[in-house]
Amino acid sequence: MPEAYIYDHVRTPRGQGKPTGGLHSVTAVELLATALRALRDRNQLDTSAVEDVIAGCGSPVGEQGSAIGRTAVLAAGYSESTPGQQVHRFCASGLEALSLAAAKVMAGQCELTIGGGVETMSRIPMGSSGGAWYADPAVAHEVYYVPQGVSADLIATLYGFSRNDLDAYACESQRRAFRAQSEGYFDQSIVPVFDDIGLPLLEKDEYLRPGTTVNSLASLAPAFEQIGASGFDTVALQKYPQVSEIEHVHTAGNSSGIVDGAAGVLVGSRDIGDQLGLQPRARIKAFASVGTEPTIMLTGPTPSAQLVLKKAGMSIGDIDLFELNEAFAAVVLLFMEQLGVPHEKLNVNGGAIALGHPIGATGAMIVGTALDELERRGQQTALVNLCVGAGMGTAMIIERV
Amino acid sequence: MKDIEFKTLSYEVNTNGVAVITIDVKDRPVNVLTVEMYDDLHRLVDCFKEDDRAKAAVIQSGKESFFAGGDLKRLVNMYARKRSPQLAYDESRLFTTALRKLELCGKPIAVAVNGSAMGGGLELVLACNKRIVAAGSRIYLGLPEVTLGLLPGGGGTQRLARMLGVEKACDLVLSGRVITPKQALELGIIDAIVDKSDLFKVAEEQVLSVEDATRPWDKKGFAVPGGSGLNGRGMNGLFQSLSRDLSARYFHNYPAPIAALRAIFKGSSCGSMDKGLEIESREFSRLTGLVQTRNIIRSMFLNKGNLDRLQERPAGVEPLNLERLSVIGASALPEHLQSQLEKTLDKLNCSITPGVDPEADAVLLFGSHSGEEISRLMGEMPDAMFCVSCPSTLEETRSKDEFRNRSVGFNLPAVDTWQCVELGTLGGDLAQANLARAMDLTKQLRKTPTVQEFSGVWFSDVCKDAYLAEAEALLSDGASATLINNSARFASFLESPIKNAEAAATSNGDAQAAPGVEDAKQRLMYRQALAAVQFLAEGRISAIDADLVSLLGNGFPTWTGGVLSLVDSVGVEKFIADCECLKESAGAQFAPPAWLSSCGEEGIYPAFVE
Repeated sequence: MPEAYIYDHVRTPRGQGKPTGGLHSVTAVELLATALRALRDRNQLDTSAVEDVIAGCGSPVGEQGSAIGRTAVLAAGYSESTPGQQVHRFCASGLEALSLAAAKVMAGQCELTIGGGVETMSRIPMGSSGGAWYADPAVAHEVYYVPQGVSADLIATLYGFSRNDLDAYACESQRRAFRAQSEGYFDQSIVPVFDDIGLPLLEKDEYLRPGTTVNSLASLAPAFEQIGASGFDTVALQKYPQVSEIEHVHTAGNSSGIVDGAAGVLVGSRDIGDQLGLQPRARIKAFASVGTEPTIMLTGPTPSAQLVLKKAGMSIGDIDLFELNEAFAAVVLLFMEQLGVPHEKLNVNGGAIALGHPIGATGAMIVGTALDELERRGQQTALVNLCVGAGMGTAMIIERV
Repeated sequence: MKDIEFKTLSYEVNTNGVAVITIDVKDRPVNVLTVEMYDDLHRLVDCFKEDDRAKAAVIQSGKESFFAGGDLKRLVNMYARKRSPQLAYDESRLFTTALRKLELCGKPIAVAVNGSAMGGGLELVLACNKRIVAAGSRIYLGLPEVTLGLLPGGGGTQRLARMLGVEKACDLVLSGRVITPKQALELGIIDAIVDKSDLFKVAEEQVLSVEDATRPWDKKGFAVPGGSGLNGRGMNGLFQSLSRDLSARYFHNYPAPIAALRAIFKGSSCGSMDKGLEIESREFSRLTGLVQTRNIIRSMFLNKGNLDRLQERPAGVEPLNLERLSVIGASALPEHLQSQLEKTLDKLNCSITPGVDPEADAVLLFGSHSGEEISRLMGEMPDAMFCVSCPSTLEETRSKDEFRNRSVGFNLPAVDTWQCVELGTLGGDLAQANLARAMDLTKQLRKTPTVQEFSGVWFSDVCKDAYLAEAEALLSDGASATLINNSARFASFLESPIKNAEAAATSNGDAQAAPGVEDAKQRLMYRQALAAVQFLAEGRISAIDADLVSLLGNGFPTWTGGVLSLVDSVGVEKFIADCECLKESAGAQFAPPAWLSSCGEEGIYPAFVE
């Protein structure tokens, strides 16, 4: 079986996901095209060699609708012969896109592909694409659907993570992210976004709140208390009757941020790299997705990590760095507790709590973050992981070559 | 043209060229949907369509009221008939297709609604072009089917959604609440409210003014107001919150409301009314075959209705003419009962005296009283019937003929939700006469009278004790108080078995072996059922009375139809087998009584007799 290598990766900075955000005036297709152009230019690619562009997107409607992978290929000025598509696995869409891009190479059906994703959350709000999962009564009622924030609070309640635990974690995420940004750890992979006349719009992640303290976070109101009280808590308790009430401990400060952003990862076989004179940076060792109980929804990372390790023939101890998307602080705390992963190895440059989580792009972005950090530290292996809507987990292991 | 004969309606064409259709179901106090009517409606449309004399029609009622809806006696038997899905569907189509045919006949039809129109009655109204209702304070309109475990199966979910939009239609259909004509007019369900004397005239005028009888949803380009399915602003959120609300309210124990929501969701997004109606019919036909639906109709409507109408009242006893009521031991009188008494008895010009009223017709005697006190009170109130609640006082009363001939057991605990009275017969020559008069009093209090033979303890207390004892047993088996209370709540019990959950100690047994939520639900229900079976076996209560005490008093889950209807629903044989398993896993309290096995195939529940 051919192996799939990462040759390069880029991401846009993450802009605040609101009308005042730095990327709000940019459409999803422009944002993704920015990433594609950067991959082309950095690697002096003849884009006709790219055999598929697979883009994750969490709300593939309107501007983000209709196979945005292909639309971005056309907008980026890639060769017309390069096809494109869009995939959806909720928050792991970007990682799933990369897995599929790698799988095509590993299957010998493509030589060079791009996996990545995009989300302009300031323009297309979360949930815009609707869905039977939470709105068709024949499904939502039968699967005890609750919004993910309620699920996150249920995890905290069930596993005993206090508000203080979550806020302390969030603070550390902010501290690490700010340090990484200040030290320039992100710079090599961020491509600035320019406006239509070529003036820079955003060059750095802008969601961070340096100086965040546990005290400053303590004043934030619970984000999901009201929606829980509207009846969703009662829906969830029917699945978890050992819980007397859900403690609403997640806030805007210890949950992932709403941001705009796009990312692309250039993947190919060893042969194509040799042909094009590209240097492989890492091997994609294994990837896996799992399904888990959908009401608590966000407990996928542990089993997806276990599965991907098994597929790679590795154990937890073989992994140098972990990147687990900080959808909610409790998700990360649970993962560390269940697998005995020390915080020193996990999200060493912060995560989505500080930097934001552009749904369709995040998976690809954090693979890049992990790879850059492995290189900086001179380490070898990273496990990248996300919790996923409707009860799933998606993970990937990369190894430097 | 020759007029055709109908069984449930009459048809004649007046000089204005209007077919006057008068619905009048024979041998019924109100119009209900019968099989004959389905047949008549189909033939009626054929007749009207071809009748050249008639250019329009007005439908009216031949009775004081307009239309009461479905025939519950027929519906309750649908479960027992164990029809195939095809047959159930075909039967559910009869009314739907009749109304659809009416709607598509090409000539305009008005309906003159002279009284309340419920369920199928309102569905008939919705199928007409012009809907005129008489002004009157006692006229109500509604689709209460979900409260019966059903859904509007004659097009109601589809027409209402297309008339009002999904949100307003769901508000009415999912709650089953009834509305006044004024509210119906504001919503756009009806066209006008007129004086009763003008009803026919206005209906006739309006129907003759209709130029195109095509309903809006049968016209090209029709869109459901506000959107349908997941197409339209806010529809995702709307259906998400409606699904949530039903889960959080009914805990997945009541199949009807969610079926109605599915029918509206899926049906209203069909571009074709006919497809929408098919979706509704499928959901309706499925509900008619469910045991929960049978249970709700049988216990909460038919059996409760019979008791409320005093069908079991001993014959030949003068009605209680209550003018003066004395309440003794009033400190035990719950506040809500006090206000209830004042509300209901005030209307009857009945005085209520806290304490002795020498001229009292009846006495509500609360609390514990010695034989001497009873004797004194009876002497001070020589004409009064004594309604006694406290078991020890009742034992005292029962012990002497002179006491018991003037007394009846009368249990109405101080619980806001308690909707029935347990009447205890004490034996003796006048037991039946006292029972009859106590039923009269119960009816005046607007509660449901239930009967049992009193011998030391109230049936409701036996059930309650079993419930609480099983909660204790679950605790000692290692289940947490939270899990036990949640299990009770999610089984749809009204009351939590463990009042002070924080103080309740859980035994530190093997957590793996501790009962789970489904175990706890079953144990809480079965333990009470076994207590009730014992009462039944001793001949102290009927299955129907036991069920209604459990539902209206103890707050046993309504979907079961009551504590003995549960056994009937599970099936006696399976119930015994379940108990044998529980005996092994949970303890000897679940040993099924031998009597139960002797019930044989007839089971413990009387077949419903029309």
